[in-house]
Amino acid sequence: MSRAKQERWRGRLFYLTTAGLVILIWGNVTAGGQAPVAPRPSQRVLVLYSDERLLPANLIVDEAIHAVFTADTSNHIELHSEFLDVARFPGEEQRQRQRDFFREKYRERPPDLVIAVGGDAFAFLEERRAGLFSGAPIVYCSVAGDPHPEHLSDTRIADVPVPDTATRTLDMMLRLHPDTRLVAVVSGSGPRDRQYAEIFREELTTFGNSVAFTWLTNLSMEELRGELSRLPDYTVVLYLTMFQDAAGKTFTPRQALDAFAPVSRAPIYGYYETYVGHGIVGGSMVTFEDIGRKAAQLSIRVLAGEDAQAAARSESYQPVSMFDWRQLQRWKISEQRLPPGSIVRFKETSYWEQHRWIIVAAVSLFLLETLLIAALLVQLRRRRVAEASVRENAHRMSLAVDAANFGIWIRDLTRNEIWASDKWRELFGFTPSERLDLDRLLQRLHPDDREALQEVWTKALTDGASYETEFRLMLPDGGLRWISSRGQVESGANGQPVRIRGASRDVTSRKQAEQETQLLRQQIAHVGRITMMGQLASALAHEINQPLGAILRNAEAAELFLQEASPDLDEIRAIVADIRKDDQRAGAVIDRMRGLLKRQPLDTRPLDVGELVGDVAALVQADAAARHVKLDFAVAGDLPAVRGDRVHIQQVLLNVILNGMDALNGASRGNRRVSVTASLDGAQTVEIAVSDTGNGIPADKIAHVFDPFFSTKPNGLGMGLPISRTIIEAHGGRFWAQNNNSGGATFRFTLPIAEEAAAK
Amino acid sequence: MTVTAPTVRIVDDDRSFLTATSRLLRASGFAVQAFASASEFLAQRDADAPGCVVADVRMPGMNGLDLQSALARTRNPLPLLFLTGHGDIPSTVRAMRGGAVDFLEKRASKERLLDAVKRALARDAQEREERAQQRELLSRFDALSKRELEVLSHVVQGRLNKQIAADLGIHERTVKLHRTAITTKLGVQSVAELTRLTDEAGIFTASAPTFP
Repeated sequence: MSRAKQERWRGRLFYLTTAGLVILIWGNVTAGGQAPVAPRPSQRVLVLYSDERLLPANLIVDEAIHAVFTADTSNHIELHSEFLDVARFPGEEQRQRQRDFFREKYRERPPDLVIAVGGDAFAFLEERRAGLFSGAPIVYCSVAGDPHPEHLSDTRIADVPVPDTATRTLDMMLRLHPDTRLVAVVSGSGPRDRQYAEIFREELTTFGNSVAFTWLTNLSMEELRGELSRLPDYTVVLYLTMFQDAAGKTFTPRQALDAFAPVSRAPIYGYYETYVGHGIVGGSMVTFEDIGRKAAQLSIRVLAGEDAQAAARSESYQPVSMFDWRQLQRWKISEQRLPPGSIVRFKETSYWEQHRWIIVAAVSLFLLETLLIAALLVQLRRRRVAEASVRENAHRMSLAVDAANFGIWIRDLTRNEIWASDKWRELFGFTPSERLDLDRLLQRLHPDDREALQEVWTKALTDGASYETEFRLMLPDGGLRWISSRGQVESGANGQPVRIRGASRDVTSRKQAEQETQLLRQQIAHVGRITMMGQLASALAHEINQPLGAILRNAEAAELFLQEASPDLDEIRAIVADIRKDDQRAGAVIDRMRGLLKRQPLDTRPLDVGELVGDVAALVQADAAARHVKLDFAVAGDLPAVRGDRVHIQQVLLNVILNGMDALNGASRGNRRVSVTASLDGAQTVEIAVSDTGNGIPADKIAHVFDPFFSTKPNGLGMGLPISRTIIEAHGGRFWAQNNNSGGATFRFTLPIAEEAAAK
Repeated sequence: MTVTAPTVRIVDDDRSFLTATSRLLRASGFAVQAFASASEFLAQRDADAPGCVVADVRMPGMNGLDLQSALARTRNPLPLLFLTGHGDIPSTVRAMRGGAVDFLEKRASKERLLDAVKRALARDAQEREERAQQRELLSRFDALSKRELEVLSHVVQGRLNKQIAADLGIHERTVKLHRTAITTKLGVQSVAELTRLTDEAGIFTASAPTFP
């Protein structure tokens, strides 16, 4: 509900209440039997509207008239309303029928005054003055665009001409839009539309030609909408009325405005109050309330006996400039540029303007509450972060421990108890619930490592220090696991160790990798040995094949020459000589090879047999472990030193031990043993024997094992033993082989005792 | 080109073996020339006279495989037969890849040796025949002008006169004239024959001798 309407309602209530009170008081007075003031007789006023009852303008006018009459307590006016509705019921016949109807209807109660609202109603009355309501004065209530009679001969007609709001509006438009190049005038196709447009054209003649005009008339609503949506820049629209479009469709002008205003590319102006709020920016206008009120006031004066024309002349309308705030926003027209005294409707007063203090209070409260909540949230978050951080730390710790495969354990020395993490139990092959103590733990250890670990502990407890060690576990499933363990002894108040705390880790894969690397290294060394021998053999073959090839070719040639009828004996003699020469050459190659092999003179010196064997043992130990061969060394005590070349003798011993281990390939796990013994053999020599638990040497082969290039091994070169024997013999020793009674073979060689030792 | 009997050239730094092998081959009926080194052999004037080469792989200075590469670059690459005291796989592979007739141990049987020499000589004869034909063919093409060779290269690709004319920017009638000249000079009757001839001469293949 608009504010204006609110005010009107309030006003009307006021009037009604006042009127009621007056009536009551007056009634009491009358009843009191005071001198009676003759009541004025009731007077009848008929308001005849040109259009229908619900035309917005009519509603306002009707209300205004009603309000004025109601307010006038000195008269009692009986109000009637009739509607010609000429837009929808056009034609002279209709008018005739309406005249007849009104005459019949008001025969008994003729109106004392008729208000004609709109030009059509006035014309209807004036034309039928003689036959209809002939005695009643007429108040002509016109709106902009309605025609006014040039000269009124009938003095009982009151007409207050409405000022020319059309040209005023036009002026205003051009002031607000100084860049305007074109004014588009919108008007409908109904008779009233044409009439209003015609009147506007006449008014326009006084306007000059500062701007171009285009007429958007004789268009259907659709066509009009299309035109408006394509208007060029710098155009403004002036809307007159549209009761009917070119297609014959009828509207109230405001409905029409509602239909086309939204699509217009240019601002629309109009000079009817009812258009405000329905798409026009504004205009200069006389309000319908003003019109209605003025008509009612004039009516009262005429009814009171005043001269109608004279009364009308004393009245005039004051046009107002009225605007729609929303449209001003839409077309970006500043309120400052509006004419002074302009009424701006539909202005959205902000909440701030309306409820400043409530807002301030509410916002303050809200802020306060927000602060409180924020403070609480911050506190909550801090606590969560702290909790999360603690959890995170614990989580990280366990992750790190798990990731490193660490099992944690604590051994309580006072109670002989062991606490261990699940990971530790998993590592050591204990179930999570199994009770732990030192005995059980030691049981788990590889028998060979038990003693060593206990020694480590003992040492750590004595020193009160930390330790780090590696040992093997025999898991319940028979598997073997390498563990790396770090521990820290913790002492009580009295300085006595109370517990050992430690972490253990599975290093099996590392150990395996180490073993594999070791194996690989040995294989490479082995391949190297073979390659070297191969190269030697190749060179030997090449050198010897040269003279042998020559001998062969010569012999073949000789055969061919001998087949001839008369062989060239000189040639054949030469051939034979060459053959002999090449034979010597081949012999020389072999001698040279032998020379190469023994080029380095032996560097003999006294050697300690224990040391000699120990050095070789250290060399083969890893290899033996990798090949699961158990190596035993038994060197008799008090062995005298032997004379020999350390490197050569070690090479021989190494070679023989490796042969022994090779002989164990395919032997069962429990029966893989190579034993090395050194003992005194007579007074002058020391015998070193290497025996294995393999299959021994086949009886038919045993005589050949020292032949060059003889080998029982698939990849053997057959050079190891011959060279070894050559070396030993070069030292003045002997070298032989025999099969053991218990299986396997034993290789023995002797070395002479050093003179210095023998002399002792 | 003087007609000489195919000669077996033996190259070996081992004089004793060189003499013995020469004796055997001569006794078996071959013309033989003996050289103590690869460079001595290559220095010979008639290094590409018909025949073959029997060479040791291992020699001081230029070895057998170097000799093989050097021979491959000559006008008449002689077939090569390798002898070695003790063959190793890498040099065998390299020698055979390089087109060696065979790779024999020095102590290979006489039959294998003689058989390999015969094969080498036969291959030389065949290759010489082919090369002679090739040269004869090429000499026929020598008669062609540069423009005619250009037209020919298009013709053997199966292009039409119209297309050739457009490509070379000459009149179609001129192309026809060139074609007539080509067929007359080469003494061929049809495009098919022309294509076969060109193909055999290998004048448009990458390895063939370039245009004059």
